Amino acid sequence: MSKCLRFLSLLALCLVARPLAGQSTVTGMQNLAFGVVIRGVPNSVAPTDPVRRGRFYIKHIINHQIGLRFTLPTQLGRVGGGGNLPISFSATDGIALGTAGTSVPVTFNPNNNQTFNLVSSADFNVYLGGRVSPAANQATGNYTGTITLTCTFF
Amino acid sequence: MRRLFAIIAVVAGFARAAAAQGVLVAPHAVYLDHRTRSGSLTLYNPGAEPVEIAVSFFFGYPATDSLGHFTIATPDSVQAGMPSAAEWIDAFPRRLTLAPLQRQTVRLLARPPQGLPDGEYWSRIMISAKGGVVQVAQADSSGISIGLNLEVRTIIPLIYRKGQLQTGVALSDLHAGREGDSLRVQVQMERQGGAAYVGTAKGALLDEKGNQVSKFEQPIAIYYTAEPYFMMSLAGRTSGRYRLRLELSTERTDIAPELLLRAPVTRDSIDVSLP
Amino acid sequence: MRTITRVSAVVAAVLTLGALPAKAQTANINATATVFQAITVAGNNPLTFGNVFPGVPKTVTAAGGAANSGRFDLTGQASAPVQLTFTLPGNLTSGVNNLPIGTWTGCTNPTNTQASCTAFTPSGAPSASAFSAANALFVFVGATVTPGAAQAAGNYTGTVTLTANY
Repeated sequence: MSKCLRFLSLLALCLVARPLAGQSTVTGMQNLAFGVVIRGVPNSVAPTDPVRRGRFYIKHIINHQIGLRFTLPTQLGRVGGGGNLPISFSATDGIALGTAGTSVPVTFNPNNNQTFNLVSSADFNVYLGGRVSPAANQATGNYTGTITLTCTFF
Repeated sequence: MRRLFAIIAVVAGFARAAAAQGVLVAPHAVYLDHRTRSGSLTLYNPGAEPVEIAVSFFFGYPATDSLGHFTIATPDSVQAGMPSAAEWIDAFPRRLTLAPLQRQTVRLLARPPQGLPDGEYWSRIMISAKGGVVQVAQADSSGISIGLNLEVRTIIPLIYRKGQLQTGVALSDLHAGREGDSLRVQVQMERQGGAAYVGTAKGALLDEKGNQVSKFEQPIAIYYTAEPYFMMSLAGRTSGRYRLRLELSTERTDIAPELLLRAPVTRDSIDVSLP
Repeated sequence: MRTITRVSAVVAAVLTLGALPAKAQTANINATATVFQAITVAGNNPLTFGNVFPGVPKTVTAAGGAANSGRFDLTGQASAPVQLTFTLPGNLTSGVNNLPIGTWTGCTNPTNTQASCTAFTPSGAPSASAFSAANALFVFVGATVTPGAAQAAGNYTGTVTLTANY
């Protein structure tokens, strides 16, 4: 085997032995949509609500770890200004579920950092619920805020 | 000896003690656009008992009576030329049962007639909520008992808009007079443009030095003409000359801004002498 | 440089690249809500006559005490006008038998108290009222039942309707 070919083979082996960063991704898939919220009446969305819950899709490598850290808003801002709508997240508002048929959902506290080990599948979904608490004189209109999920791939 | 028996009456179908019976309706005013021709209502049962709901429509609009009290004008029949949407609005479902603490969305669908001219069309939505028969304790051996049905009807406005619309209001005959420890303010309002004027009336009473000594703020909706009255507290006010300022604007905190038709602020003012 | 050294250098570089520290990525979603004003009408207290005897009318007035008067609680937009209309039975019925009920009284208040409430007569004619600055309106009602001297046994029923026109 020529020297050049040996080099290329060795290089390829090295490249295969270590994962490319591009295989690991996190994508926001669905907004956390509270829909109609009535003044003075708190409104909760469960992480099991298929229509209104938020969802992230994460892909990494099986038997590797992922660290999750949410940056959660405490208020939603009124579109056009003029008000803030309090939002909170409970200790059971996060659910992680692998895509394999044998995966078991794991409930977690989105307010705390989490570390998951991918056992059943290389990808999984993270579902998020929450609660908004409008004041009795909450300004009517549309409110929005940003939820950020930071994944650290090990 | 007169036979005695006891009737323990729980009248007027008010719920069992300490158990609310009714329905929450949101929004409190529905706006539909000709482009989408659809909307929705959210109904919520805050009580501990199921309620039966029925949704219906009729033509009516806010007005005032001769004393300035708010009332709903409901023509006996809808004549051609009346801006009624009641005949071509439907709800899905029209009838439902809400379990305790259950929330339900009711879809509203408009099927306007062909060639509907640009403009604004009105309806009232009536949401009837009926709870179960209120249980009454059985009386003594005479076997007399009472059960009552409660029905609560909530009526809210529906406004359907087609095309580019304008609104405004003209004020006239602003006058005020003392009634006890309050100042009664009354003014004639006439809608301008083709769409109902929905906004807020604000009043301020200023003393001779220009200091505000009393005020009021009230949501208003002028569909044709109206002559509403407003009350301002005069507690602690001495006799003398004051200036009453009235301002109408298309601002509302209870209606999403994008649903409000904007118009310039309208103002009027008069001198008021308090005896 | 000799070829083997060059290759080793390249391999070392690649291996170093492969042993990168953990990488982080972020993604966003939105949380959204649309706040609406609601209107609520709820019956929250029964109108209670207690024991009633044949031939003896019994009255509970609208301002006759929180325990006995009937009460509706309304919530809506602050200071907004609301029109109240009642549909009231003249009799409670049990088959062919009637138990008369009437002389309805009412009063409204922006707070949940009957003190200084504003009196009105519940009827089919609209009564104008308004929500308080705190979005509330309380409606109290009373009535008189008039059992006959030989009021028959049975289950007497009727329907009361409150309409809040907003």
